[in-house]
Amino acid sequence: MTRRTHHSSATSASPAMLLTLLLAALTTSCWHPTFDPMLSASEATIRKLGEPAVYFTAENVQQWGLDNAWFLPPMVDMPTMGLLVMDMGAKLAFRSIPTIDAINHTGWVNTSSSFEVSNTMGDAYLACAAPDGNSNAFVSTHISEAWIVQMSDLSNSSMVLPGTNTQGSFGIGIIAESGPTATIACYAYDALSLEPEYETRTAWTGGTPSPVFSIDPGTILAFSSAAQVTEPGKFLAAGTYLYLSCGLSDGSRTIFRWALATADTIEPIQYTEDYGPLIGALSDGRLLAEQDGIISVLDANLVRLFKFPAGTLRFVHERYDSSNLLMKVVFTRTLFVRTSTHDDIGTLKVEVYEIPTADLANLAD
Amino acid sequence: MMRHRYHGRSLAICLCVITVLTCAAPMAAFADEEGVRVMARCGGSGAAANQVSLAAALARSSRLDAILLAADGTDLVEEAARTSCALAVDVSSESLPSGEARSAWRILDPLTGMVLTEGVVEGAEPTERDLADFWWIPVIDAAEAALPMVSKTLVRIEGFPGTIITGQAGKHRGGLPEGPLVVPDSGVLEVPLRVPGTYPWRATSAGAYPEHGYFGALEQGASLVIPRRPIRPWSLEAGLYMGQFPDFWVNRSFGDDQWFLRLGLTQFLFGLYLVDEQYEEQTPSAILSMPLLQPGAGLGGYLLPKDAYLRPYWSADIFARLVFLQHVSPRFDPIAPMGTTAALGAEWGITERAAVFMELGTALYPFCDGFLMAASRSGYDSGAMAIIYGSVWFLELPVLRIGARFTL
Repeated sequence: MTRRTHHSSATSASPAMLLTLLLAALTTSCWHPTFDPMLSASEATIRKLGEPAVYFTAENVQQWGLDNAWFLPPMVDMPTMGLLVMDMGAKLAFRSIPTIDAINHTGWVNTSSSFEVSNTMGDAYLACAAPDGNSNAFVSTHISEAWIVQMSDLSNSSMVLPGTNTQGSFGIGIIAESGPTATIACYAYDALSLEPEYETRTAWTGGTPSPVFSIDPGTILAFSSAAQVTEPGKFLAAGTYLYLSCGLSDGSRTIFRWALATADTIEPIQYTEDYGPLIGALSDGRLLAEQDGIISVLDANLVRLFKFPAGTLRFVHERYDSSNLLMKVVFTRTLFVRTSTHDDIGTLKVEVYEIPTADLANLAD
Repeated sequence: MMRHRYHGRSLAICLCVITVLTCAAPMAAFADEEGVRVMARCGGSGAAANQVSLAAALARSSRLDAILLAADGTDLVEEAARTSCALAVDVSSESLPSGEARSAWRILDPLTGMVLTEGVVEGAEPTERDLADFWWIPVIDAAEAALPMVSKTLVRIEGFPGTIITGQAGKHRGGLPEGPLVVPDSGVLEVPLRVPGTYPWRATSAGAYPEHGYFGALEQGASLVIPRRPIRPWSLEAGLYMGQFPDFWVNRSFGDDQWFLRLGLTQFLFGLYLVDEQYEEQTPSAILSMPLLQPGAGLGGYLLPKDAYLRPYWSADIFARLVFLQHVSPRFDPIAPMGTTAALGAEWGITERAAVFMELGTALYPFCDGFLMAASRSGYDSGAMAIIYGSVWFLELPVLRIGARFTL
């Protein structure tokens, strides 16, 4: 008689095991991978930029407002102070970083004073340092008002910009000149007079532009589509052209380009924002556009010359290096790591990178 | 014939024993269902005719594993053979006019019906305590002494040469020898076992899964054929990293399924992300997609064999981090190009070829920028996960995986 006995490796389902698996899944379902594509993108480019010109950390910094904050240094070789710009969408808040120890790489964020302004321009607001290297910053966040802010203590003065009528669309931008000066360009469409107008201030070294912008009445801009512009954007006077990167009433975005010499008579050429909105321009006339963390360097005809991943690396300005007599493009990266599980405080790390404008193509990916 | 004589004694404790055993009597079993079973019947008149007291006394023997009571109206020997009992004990008691009692007993071989031994117990009419204490001692001794006389024959075991046969851990070995049995090159092994008997067995063989079962040797000439299932070394694994992100692995076991190597891919292109709503904050989508892939390789070892109910194991993996940023060529993550994990897991077979598992461990990212890694997760709610980091390393724990493993 032969007795075959079945093996019993297959067992019945255990409710306890299933419950354990279910609980494990539920308790971990809010985990986020330790990965930030924008940060990794910035690191890819930083490897090409090399060592930072300056970097520092500040401890016990409140997390509030730092999710999209960036550092604005003065246009000097070795910044010893700077401005923390906390971009919160409809509002900008500024904190002073009055001291930076370049030896020990430490800094201090002065939280006892703050300067806050409303922002109606989205990402197209302007916050730039004085081209001559002083510690003033020029801030413009909407059509009616701009500020000169002292980085060391946030003392500020406001000016009417660009005119008395606060209705209508608006654009502003700055471009470094080949030296310690810059050109500010400002565009406004007066919804009452129905006249698109613009003004530029060249050889601006810092402080209040002189004379102060008063566009209404200004230089008339040939712009029959002006009424369709609903979202403000960068307005740049680069080379022999004027550029307005903006949003239209149909929800699309576009770039208009005028020849500077005939801007009052000849309608602009309209381009699509293939590489994202314009974020700035360089002293050599090249333009910068950014989309999905990728910065594209464009020629005057908005043809892409090259691109590189920027991510959390922010283009802040181009500055004149008086020691080496050349222009440099300046980027900053601002990082925050929470160090307390109880309070929203942590470590702020700021890095400042520079590359000669002529070498910018070395960043190409 | 053996003859014993006792004087009556009684103790209250006997009542307790009998009460308990009487309650258990309808179950017709006084020990586990494996090993040596004895069927008993006690009839006649007087206190000694109480068959529960006989069964209780027999149950105290360490050599008898189960005592069954024969139902009224059945043939004792026939019933004992049918229920695979090794012995049948038949007792007839009577009260004598002199005030004494007499219990005539016989020990029978259920298969042959042959009387192996018999005797008489005589003495003053026993009380219940006497019955529990000593009255049946001669019967117990005789039953134990008769065990070697009942049918014990060579049992034939067929198996793959080299198969090692043992008892099952935690279970009575019955008549199996203490040491392991090894199937010789002939593939046939003959083992002297007492018949009838039930023997739990377990067999292991190189290159095959362990087998186990129960061998019911009911009659002479019984044989056991040990099945052999060759190890299937390849398996597929579908898991959920942190219970959120599907991953896929291919496993190759070796060393008789004790060790394994695996290759796989953890992906973050698609996963769940269930966070609580926060005041004045937009709740993120429940589906999270990140341009990160982690192809990896690993090794591990099982701490228990395949037939264990729950099979613990350890594993160690190494993986690369590949990022796919928009408009940029794929590359290793410049912040943390690679990582490692170490985990302890448990596998639970739900069918012969499918098992579910859970792993709990830690992930270490060497050669990375620890601060940047910490900053990478600073803006997110990452649940109950702890991180530790240095300038060039980053550690997070616990890391959890759950999933299912399918043997090909």
